[in-house]
Amino acid sequence: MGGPNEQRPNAIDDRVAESIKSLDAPSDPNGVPVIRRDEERWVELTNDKLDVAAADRFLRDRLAGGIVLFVGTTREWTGERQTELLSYEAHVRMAFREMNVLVDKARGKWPAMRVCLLHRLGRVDVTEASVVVGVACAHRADAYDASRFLIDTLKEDVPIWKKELFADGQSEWVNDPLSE
Amino acid sequence: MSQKPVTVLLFSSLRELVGQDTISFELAGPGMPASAVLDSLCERYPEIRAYRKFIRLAVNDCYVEGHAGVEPGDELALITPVSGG
Repeated sequence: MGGPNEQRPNAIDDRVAESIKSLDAPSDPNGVPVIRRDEERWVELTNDKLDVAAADRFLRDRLAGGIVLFVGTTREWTGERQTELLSYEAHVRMAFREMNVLVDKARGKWPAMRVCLLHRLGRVDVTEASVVVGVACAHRADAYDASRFLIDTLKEDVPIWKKELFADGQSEWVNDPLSE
Repeated sequence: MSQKPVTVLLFSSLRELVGQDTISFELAGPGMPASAVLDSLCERYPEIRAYRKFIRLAVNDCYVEGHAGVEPGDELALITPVSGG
């Protein structure tokens, strides 16, 4: 696609372009996608775009009266700072295992009919989804609580890391304790 | 007698700073505590030493306490603070 792209306010400089190129290389030697899907659970790590509509369809259930879908996306602006893209990497097998453990825990605490927990790896452009958390329960309070638990605990425990590439050419691993 | 080494897995900052995504590590003996393996890695790699107090350990895809034993052929992952989501 031509034309409209030239309107971008900040053309990315060469360093960013170079970093982005390296992200396009096949990024996961340890095998994605990994997926576990049955009637009640859909857990997946993938390099592909996440399909929120498919998650919604999966969550529909005759016994559910409340579905909560959380979609985490790449934000372009954090204060004055402009983000070009995020890039995610994972300890894939362990992350997949931990994600399933989280779903088990959520289902043990809340009466969820269906749960999905999907995470994208590799390059995730501005406005695209990196994570989809969905819970279908009989009532909304349980669905809200379970989805909150899932995303909060995922951010604490699941071995996935994101690198933020900024429009000014800098980049950093988010939550890195030694970066300023 | 040589035994199967442990594969140490590095990610994100550590992977970039050390310049490789795995390190092959010879245990002092079977059941060597995970924290002792980490100490030994810290002696060899100043990049890892800098992150020492932030690292969580995982053996064969499960988080473990430092006293957990590591066996020949195990995978030991050094997990720096995560940032998924």
